[in-house]
Amino acid sequence: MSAALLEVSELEVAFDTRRGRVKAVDGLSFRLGKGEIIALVGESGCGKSVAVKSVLKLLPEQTARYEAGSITLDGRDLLGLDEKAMEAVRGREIALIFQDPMSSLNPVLTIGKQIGEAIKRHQGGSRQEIAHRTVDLLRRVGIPAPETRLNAYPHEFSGGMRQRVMIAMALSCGPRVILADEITTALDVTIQAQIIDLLKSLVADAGAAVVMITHDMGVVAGAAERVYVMYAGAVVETATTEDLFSRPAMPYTWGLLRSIPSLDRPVHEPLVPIEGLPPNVALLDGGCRFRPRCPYRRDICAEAEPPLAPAPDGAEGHLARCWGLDPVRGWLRDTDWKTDLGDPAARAQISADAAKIKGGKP
Amino acid sequence: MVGYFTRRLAAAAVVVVLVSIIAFAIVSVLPGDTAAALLGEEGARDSQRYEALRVELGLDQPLVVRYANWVANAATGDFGRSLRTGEDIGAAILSRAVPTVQLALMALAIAIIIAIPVGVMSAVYYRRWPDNLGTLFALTALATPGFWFGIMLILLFSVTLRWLPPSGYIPFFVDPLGSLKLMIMPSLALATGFTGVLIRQVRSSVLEVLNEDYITTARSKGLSRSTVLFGHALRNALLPVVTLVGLQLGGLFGGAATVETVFSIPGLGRLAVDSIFYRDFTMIQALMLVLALSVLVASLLTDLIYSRIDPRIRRG
Ligand SMILES: Nc1ncnc2c1ncn2[C@@H]1O[C@H](COP(=O)(O)OP(=O)(O)O)[C@@H](O)[C@H]1O
Ligand code: SF4
Ligand SMILES: [Mg+2]
Repeated sequence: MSAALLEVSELEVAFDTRRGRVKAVDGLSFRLGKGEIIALVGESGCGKSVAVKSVLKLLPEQTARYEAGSITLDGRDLLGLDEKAMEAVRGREIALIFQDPMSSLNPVLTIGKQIGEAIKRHQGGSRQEIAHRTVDLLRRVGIPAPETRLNAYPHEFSGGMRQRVMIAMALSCGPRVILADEITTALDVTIQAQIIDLLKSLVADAGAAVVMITHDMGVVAGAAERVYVMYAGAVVETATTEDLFSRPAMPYTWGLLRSIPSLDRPVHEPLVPIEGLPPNVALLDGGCRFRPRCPYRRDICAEAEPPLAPAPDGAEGHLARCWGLDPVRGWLRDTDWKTDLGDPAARAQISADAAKIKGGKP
Repeated sequence: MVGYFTRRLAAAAVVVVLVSIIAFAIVSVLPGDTAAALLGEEGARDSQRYEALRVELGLDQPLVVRYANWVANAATGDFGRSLRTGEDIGAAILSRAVPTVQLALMALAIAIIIAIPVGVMSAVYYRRWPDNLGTLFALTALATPGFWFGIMLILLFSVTLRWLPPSGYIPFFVDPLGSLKLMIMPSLALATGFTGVLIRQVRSSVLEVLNEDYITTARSKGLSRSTVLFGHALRNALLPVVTLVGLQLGGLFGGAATVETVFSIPGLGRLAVDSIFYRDFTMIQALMLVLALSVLVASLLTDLIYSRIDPRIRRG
């Protein structure tokens, strides 16, 4: 593994709410090397956005609490920086691209202004220089006739074009790290691949490293070198993309992989969604966090949280969090995840629980 | 943009027609009529004189014909003569409108100048002491009756301190300073409730905008808090504020009636009050129409300002 550029370790973030303090990130760790692309994958609500916003300390100050862990950039502790020092990091060293390009651009300011102000903030320059650089950026992200679009407003662009604008904005000050939070989720399927390819080629040119956040395993396959699978605020499995797809180790990852729609899947074979309700960090009870939805669970799973331990395939850096993989007592080390869908009784129970909580709906 | 405003104007025209019908109808269905008002209670019992006067005034004609006549004359600025004073209604309204417009504009300016900084501060220091202070101030302003506040101002600044004249009116163009001195207390009195409403609106819309994704985007670029607040948040936050100001202008005219009475200002509000007391039907009809027109003009102006701030409307 390369030396870490960005390292998040044992991060715990909570929010003060009316119902008391609610945890959103619960012991998250990942590391990003120089020029590397990693993916953080997990269902909606598992704490991905909270994690990336924590890196730039963009969470609402009134309610967000960084309870434990550290975030370092090149060894420098970011969580300890004050607001002024953080401003110098944002956009300049670490840039962020958001999920929804419809709501993440200011509707009343021109895009020339919105890109230009980042350049002005960090690198300065005359009006003409900034305009010139902005046009250049827009051209690089594939906006047609960029000279004429400086004075256009966000609503005059399509969703895909706005996401290109966001990418131009993120690249504008040559950051070393780009956090891309579900940047294709809000886009048409046809445009998603274009945007990912664009981002990949641009970061390769710029030598930037990327944390790609997504809930879509399909996006991960073509883009990232390493994958971190997140569940309820923590990593449950990590491996190189190749290892993860060829030898996934634990039940949650199996479920994610089963739910990828694929072209070679026979039509009669249904997609297997992950049964049960999405994770809720607030309801963790000390056992395995995936247990409420795991069809392979046993009694031990309720007793303690399994550690993030080397996976049975022995590949370097392939770690998974599951009692079933325990070298001594494990019962899932040789399971064929494609054919064995777990204990039918447990599966029925999970469906029933989910239906009960949803209010009786099947 | 042209298309948008053409549509707005067409809609406004429809509203004017409706309001004119309503103004006419309301006065027509009120008990008593112009003839009775002119003759007084005694005279109206003489049915022969009463009927003769009704014919003379055209009151015996069908409602539709009377409405058509009224509209035709009103369109040329001829609203007839006041039953009470006998003066020409158009001229009377025009001369009384000047003090009221000055009063309303000054009150509006005061409300905006106070509400924007206080509302923004409240939002920025959400639920901390500056917010609590701002909220207390807003609610106090909201709950204070304008006329009572006006009287308190007179007691303090005119009676006790003797800094300002207690009442009266000087046209602005005759003596600007004197006019402002006379109008400052009435404007403050008129602005109280409106300032409270406006502070609450500014606060809530700034709070809402600060939660928008594009604010996080702006912060993620490394912009300072004040740049984000003034460069990104405020303009968006002012959109609903502009709408509210437009909507409340009509209410300001209403409030002008009591304030004008307290401060003896010869404005439209007092004219309306007096006309109602004296059953000056022709004047009331005309006033309703003029008031509705001015509210419409205000809302068109509001739209114009709104579209200057929001580019999505400019081209829409
Ligand atoms: N500002 C906030 N206040 C309270 N709870 C929050 C806040 N932001 C996120 N959360 C909670 O944190 C959890 C993780 O959210 P998020 O990181 O947005 O998930 P995702 O993985 O879909 O990006 C959710 O349960 C969400 O409700
Ligand atoms: S520890 Fe138990 S409950 Fe958790 S994933 Fe493994 S088998 Fe399932
Ligand atoms: Mg998210």
